[in-house]
Amino acid sequence: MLESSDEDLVLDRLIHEPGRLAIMTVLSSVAAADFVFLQRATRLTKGNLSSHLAKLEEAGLVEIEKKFVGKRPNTNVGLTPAGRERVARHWDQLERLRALSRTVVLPQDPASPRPLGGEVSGTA
Amino acid sequence: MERAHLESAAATYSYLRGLLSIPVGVLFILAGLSNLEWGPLRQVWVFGAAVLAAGVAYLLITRYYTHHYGRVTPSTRAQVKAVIATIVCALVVTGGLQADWSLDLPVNGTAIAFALVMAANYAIPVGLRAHHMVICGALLVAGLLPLWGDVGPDYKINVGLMLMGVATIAAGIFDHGALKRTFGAPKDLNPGNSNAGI
Repeated sequence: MLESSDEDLVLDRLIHEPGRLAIMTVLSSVAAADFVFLQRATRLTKGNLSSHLAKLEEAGLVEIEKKFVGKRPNTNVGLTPAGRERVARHWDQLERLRALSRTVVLPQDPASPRPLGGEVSGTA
Repeated sequence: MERAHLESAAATYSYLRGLLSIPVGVLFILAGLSNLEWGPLRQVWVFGAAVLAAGVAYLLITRYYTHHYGRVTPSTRAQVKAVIATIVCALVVTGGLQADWSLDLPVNGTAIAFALVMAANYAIPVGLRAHHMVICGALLVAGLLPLWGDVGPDYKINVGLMLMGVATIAAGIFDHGALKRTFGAPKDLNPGNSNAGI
């Protein structure tokens, strides 16, 4: 049964937010990507992406470099070593939770209706 | 949220920038025509000018993609893989050309080698899409048809080059369509100032 005290399975709330997890997952496979590509790949709005990147930068998970390419401003984003490690660990935790959920059988609530077709096998 | 989908976004983007294949395909066709001394292409400078024009077109298309779809810096590992893949592809196609030149086979080794290289080039990093299967399959069948026996190596290689060009352009057009379906149409996003207040 899943132990809630198992700290190894406590999810990182900063990364677990879907928008931030999408950004970090896209960045995990590249050295860097610019703002436009991240917007395309994650389908986040400009404002949302900007706000998520600011939070990730504040936490030291991404590095943001602003420069001019030709005459256009360009924002390049890459994961820091800590960010790379955190997102890999986060996905690992999610995979382990999923695997665990397949093996855990939830206790039967006596008040709940019995399933059609007979008894439910498993232990509490 | 699909982890694999997000992790492969950069690789998918690199491979689906199909408009970049058009100048490359055009050069393959012109190289074949030039070698066969067709029309104005019998003049060497005409092909030289075409190479220059293709280079300019390539740069402009790259700029278009960067502006509308963004810029990705691949990881060192991905860059090493790309270099190795390019070398292997070049060796296989050279092998096909060499086979056409020195062996009197009833098939077109150039087209066959390119069809196999093209299929592997998509299948390994991003997976084959339906249009890749149709285009690579058609090129492979064209190369395997037993009608290349009596045409001579020069004609065989250069028609093979032209078939390579047609396949490259066709794949590029369909790849660009797939890119738009995956990442959205160019006008879906107004890139403008990409700093967006970070």
